[in-house]
Amino acid sequence: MVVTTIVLIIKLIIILTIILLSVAYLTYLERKVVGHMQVRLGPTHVGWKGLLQPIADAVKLIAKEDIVPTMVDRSVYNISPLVTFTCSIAAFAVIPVASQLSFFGIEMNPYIADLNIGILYIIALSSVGTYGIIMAGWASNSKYALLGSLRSSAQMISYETAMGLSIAAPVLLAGSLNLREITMAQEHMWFVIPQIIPFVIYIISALAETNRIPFNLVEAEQELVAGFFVEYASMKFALFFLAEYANMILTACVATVLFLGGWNGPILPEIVWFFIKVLFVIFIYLWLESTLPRLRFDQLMALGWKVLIPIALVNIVVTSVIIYIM
Amino acid sequence: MVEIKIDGKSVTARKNATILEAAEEAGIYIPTFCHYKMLAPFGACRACIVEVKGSPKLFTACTTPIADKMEIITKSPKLAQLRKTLIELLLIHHPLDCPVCDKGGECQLQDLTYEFGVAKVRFDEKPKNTPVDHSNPFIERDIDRCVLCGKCVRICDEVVNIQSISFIRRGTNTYIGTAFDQPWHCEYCGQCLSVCPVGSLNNRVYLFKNRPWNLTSTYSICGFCSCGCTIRIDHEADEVYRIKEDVDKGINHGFLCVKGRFGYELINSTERKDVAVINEGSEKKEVAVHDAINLAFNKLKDIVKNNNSKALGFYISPRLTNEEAYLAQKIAREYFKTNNIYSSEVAYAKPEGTFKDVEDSDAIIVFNVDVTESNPILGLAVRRSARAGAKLVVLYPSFTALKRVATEFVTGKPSDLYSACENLLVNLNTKNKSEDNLSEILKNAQNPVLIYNPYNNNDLYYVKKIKDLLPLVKLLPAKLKNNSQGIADMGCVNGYGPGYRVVERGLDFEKAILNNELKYLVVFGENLLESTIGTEFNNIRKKLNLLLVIDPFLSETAKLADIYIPVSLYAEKNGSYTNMEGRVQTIQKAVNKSKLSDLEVLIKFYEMAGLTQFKDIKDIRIAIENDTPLYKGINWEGGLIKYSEVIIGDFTKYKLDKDEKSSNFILYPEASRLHSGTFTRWSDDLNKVYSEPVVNLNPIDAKSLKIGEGDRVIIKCGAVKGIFKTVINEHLTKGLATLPDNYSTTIGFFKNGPYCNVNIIKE
Amino acid sequence: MMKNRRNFFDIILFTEIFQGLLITIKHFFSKPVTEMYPYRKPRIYPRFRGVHYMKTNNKGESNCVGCYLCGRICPSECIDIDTDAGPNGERLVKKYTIDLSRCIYCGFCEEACPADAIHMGKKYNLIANTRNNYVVNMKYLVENYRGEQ
Repeated sequence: MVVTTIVLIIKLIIILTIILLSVAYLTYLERKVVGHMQVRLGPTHVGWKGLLQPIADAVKLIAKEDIVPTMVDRSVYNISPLVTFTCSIAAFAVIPVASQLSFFGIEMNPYIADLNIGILYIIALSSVGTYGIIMAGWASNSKYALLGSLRSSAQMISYETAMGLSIAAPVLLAGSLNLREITMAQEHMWFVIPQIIPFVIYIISALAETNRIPFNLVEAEQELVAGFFVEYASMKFALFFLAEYANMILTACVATVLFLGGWNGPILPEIVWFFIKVLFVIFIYLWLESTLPRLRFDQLMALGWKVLIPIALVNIVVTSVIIYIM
Repeated sequence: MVEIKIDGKSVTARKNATILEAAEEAGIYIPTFCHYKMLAPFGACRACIVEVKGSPKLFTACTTPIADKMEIITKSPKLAQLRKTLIELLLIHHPLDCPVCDKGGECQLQDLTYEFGVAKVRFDEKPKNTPVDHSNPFIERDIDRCVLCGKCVRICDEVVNIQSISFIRRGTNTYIGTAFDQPWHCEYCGQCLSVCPVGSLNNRVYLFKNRPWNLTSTYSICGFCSCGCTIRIDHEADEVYRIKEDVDKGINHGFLCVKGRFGYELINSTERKDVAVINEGSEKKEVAVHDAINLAFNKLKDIVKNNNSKALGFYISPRLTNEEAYLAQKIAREYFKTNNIYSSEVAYAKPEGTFKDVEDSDAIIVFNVDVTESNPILGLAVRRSARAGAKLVVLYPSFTALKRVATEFVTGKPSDLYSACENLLVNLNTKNKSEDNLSEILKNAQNPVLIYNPYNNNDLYYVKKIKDLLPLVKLLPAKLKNNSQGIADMGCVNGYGPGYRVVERGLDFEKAILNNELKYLVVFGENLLESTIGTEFNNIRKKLNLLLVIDPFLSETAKLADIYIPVSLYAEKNGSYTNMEGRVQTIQKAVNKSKLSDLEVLIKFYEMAGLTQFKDIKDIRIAIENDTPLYKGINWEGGLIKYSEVIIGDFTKYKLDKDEKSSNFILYPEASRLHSGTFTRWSDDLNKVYSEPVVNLNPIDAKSLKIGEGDRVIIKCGAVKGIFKTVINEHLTKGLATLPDNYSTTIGFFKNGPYCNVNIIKE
Repeated sequence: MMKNRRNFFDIILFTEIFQGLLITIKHFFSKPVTEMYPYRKPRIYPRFRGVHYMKTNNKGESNCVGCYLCGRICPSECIDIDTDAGPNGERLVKKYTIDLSRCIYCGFCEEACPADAIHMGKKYNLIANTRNNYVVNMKYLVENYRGEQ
């Protein structure tokens, strides 16, 4: 019992560190990729090829003075970054990176919890994360923050429906809500092949969920300065920032598990396959980011409600019927 | 009237007009180069060639008179080609140094080259590289740039009548130069450089100081002599760069004299003070102008409070504008309760004739005044009129520049002159035809004009007699300063209020100041040391309780002042001057040297006195119009005042000193075209040519005294003595000598009248 | 009315988005244009317009004749010239200053100069601690010419 607890704690620490580091380096990756797509270099200055740039950013953010504006609702203002951050980090608990992992001869599960409703857990947590954003917008007592958070909630509610419906398709195919089992069901064929439409819908919704370009209306700099976290500074700001990038990785992980066959792949170790696929999805995100302009708010809503949701619904019906027949 | 067609447009023009004049009236442009409005047609440049229908020959528009039914074409490909070739030919010798040429930017050759589209010269250029002539102190002559339009030669002949420069040699060797390449025999009027279309004749005062496109122009009136010429002040950044003329504006037809054209640097003089000077017993203290005005006003107020008004005098200079002079005498009379208002001007001689009258006259008498020197632009008018056929009679002790055009020129000792006058009066009185040429000219004249010196009482006696005998003659007193007429009109003469209203007479200035009856003196712009009293003022000053001097420069009088307040000059203020013909003309502020004008000082006095407030020129002009019937409803931009009694008062003949035994010369005052009064001596450029008073002597006299040009001589007249440089002047009558009368060293000789018997010996 | 109708297949197959993605990925693999400025000096091309210099004759005197044409043409009015007649009646440039902080480096002065005097140099690195120090005089410009040679 004690041993498993210690192992669990060690595993938690390792996973948390990996997540935080990868979040940090995701910013580096983003700046590099977007930079090169704009024929620039991106960070080059701190460390070799600018590799220490995220660390420098982190140190800077931590060292910054924590400014709390006078008119804010203090308790809510302080809690909201924690809520957002916790929700996005906690969701990683159910992501299976490999079927089995041996670590110095010790066999261990490549996940923290193997919930049989893992996918539901992720959807639930990401919905709770929205509360953090709304709380932040409201507590900031600022028009920009409030508008940003209102947009955010509207956007999340709209796209969560489409996302949920697109997730339902692989779940139907796998016959399970457990992520491990969904992965194992793709041993012979990735779900992206029969379910290309839900995969596209999922990528679009994921972009909207994580407030990435072209759906970054929440923090549209030209209109809202920085959106809901405009009044935040220092570490609180960093928490929002981390949560946002953690969400990106999370959605990439979910896409990998649901559509791209998770750890499945020949020759290379399973965990490597998993990371390659996650990186690929993230690259697609960044690629889209540097390609597409921002949507107008009515276009965003129209796309969600009039296009994505009907298509996803039709897809579920068709999938269900096919599965029922087979 | 003749009907012609120019470029298909029907034009009616006066008979005998040239094609160019007809086209100008119709608003059709013909390019010109050698044409100048004030000169006779010449036709040297051929830029104005036009086609006339029915004639294979081309005509120069500036010389060809129009004929009835003439059809003229001013623009055609043929003409364009010819004009282009013309410029190309001129550019063979003309150096292309426009960047360093002062004319660049306002050069007629440049403009025409651009206009005719000459981009490339088909001929080989042949630069001459003749050295630039700097022998004239005011005019730079670069003969390489000359295009031989002849304007300078013509204006020097037709207008100035000096013929200083002419065409030398012939053909392609022609150049503009002086006879035998001698130094310039020149009046320095600069008429030649004003008409030069290229950079061949340049203004040396302005030379290389700026470029025309940087300059802003303000039209104003010249502030030196009484002619009242319209000038164009070209300035940039509160600095006057040059004075230009405008042929279309003013009474001077675009002519200026050496003072007006080259003397302006005194405006930019670094010797002008920015702060007031207060003399506190032993030491002089510089204080802010505002504080000095306060102090001055409080001191003046105390005088009134202590009932010492009778001992307070105001001396007003004819340099002031009408508005300033009016306000100065008004505050003196009304607030400071004094009638002691003085000036160097006279109230009994007023103008009747105008410059136009002189130009249209058929007989002009110039009576004992050298107008070419004292009032050069009037001198030009006289010369032009005489050249145009008017009979000119000159009475002057020596020959002047008018000798060349005069019908009769009477010279001699003063006694000879006056006996000629007596003779004239006698002959004018008789109805019969007399032998005397002078009186015949006057009797037969339709529009005679008499130009005289209003400051000489002896002359006035004869002038009044002539006017009585010949009411037709128009009088024109040759006044000296820019507003000599104006301040007299404004009531700045002892005993006369504004508009010559007779008021209670104040103390006689010279007597009162010598007897120490005047204890407090306020001086507006006058240099007392160099005008009326002379060097004696140094002693008188010690007896004065207060001497307040308001002057643009720290003059000799200002140096003695208890309080000296610096004020602005004519280019720095608004106002009006009345010239010697009674024409009121507005002056414009061109530059701001951050100095108060006399007017602003007076307005400050008014404020402190708590009297009616005058805010600007307009208020004061309304007050002047209400106060003086002469100025009622006058047009301040060139309106002419009609004076009723042009010469009043009883004048007695001056007793000529017959004591000629102890003296060998008769000294009389000469006017100088380079200096008017003491004012222009602040101009370094004018001082370059005339820096100290010089005595003029006849060559025969000089030889007998063994005096050479430039030697120093001692002049002695009783107690007055001085050492001066000599100039040998062949035009001077034997036995006479001249000295300017506006120097502190020379004024002593002329204290008792304009003629002085002196002893001249070599130093 | 012509409506901007798009091909149905273009819509469902995201043709236009893929075209955009193709452009960005092409750029991704092309060489970045970033200048590593303080570490590596950028290449100066022959027609580069940097800080002015004043050509001189063999004696080291400036070629400037003080014609005011550069000051006239200057769109930002940063050239200030003062001339006067010299002792022998020649044209003398008393003052010639350029306010480098106001200059827009358009090169018009070089075009206008009739005397082959003012030129745009290759120097671009100018830092001064006060605004007045950006106002450079003839001496600076002549020294700049030595630097340019």
